[in-house]
Amino acid sequence: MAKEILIPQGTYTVGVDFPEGTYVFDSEKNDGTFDLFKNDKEQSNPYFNLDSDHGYKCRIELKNGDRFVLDVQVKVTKAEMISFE
Amino acid sequence: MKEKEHLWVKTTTATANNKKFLFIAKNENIEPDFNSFADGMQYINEIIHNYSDIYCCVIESDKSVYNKLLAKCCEAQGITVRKTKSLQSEIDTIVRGCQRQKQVRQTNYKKGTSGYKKIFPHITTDDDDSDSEKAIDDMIFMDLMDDDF
Repeated sequence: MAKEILIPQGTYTVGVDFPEGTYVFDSEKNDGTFDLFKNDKEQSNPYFNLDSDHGYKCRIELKNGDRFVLDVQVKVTKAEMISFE
Repeated sequence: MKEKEHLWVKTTTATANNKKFLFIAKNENIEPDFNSFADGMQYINEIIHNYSDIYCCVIESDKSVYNKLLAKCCEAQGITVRKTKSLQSEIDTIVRGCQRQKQVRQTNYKKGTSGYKKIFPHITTDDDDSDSEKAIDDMIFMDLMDDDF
């Protein structure tokens, strides 16, 4: 069974207060947003609506220096590797 | 509550001045990853929910990512988080603080001394009765869970 943690709303910096890796963020039926600011400012900033009517869970790779903002508590699980074999 | 050796955190609780403290130290034998962090957080959440009166969570801080995430998760539960480099010195500080309060309460002043009269701050509370005196005597009560420290 996948391990999960609940993290509170707030601003997180990957590599400082959140570990690098690929994760699934799920706001568990609460409307919320996940706003990501990549280290390279020229990259687009992915923005996700979590569990809103037309939203989805967010699966994303986070690298050191990235920053993300949550406006609601979310459940986080480590994303499993996808195998094409 | 049984301490789990496989967790990356070690915990103990202490009661001082009628306030319950939860001390969290890193288990040096285990390097945390996401899964072990999740296990540790679950364990800490159980403690927080079982002891609903925890006043402050004292974390032995280092610069690791998981340590900072731990502090954020504890704060989110409405618990004051204090970080310290040495958990033992923090325990000593809390106990010393309680002892100092006790000494102030037990100071006896002599009347009629000649010369200048020294004025000491005198702190009184509404609950200055025998019950509170007993409570102060019992102020320092350590209940170590598993003698981890």
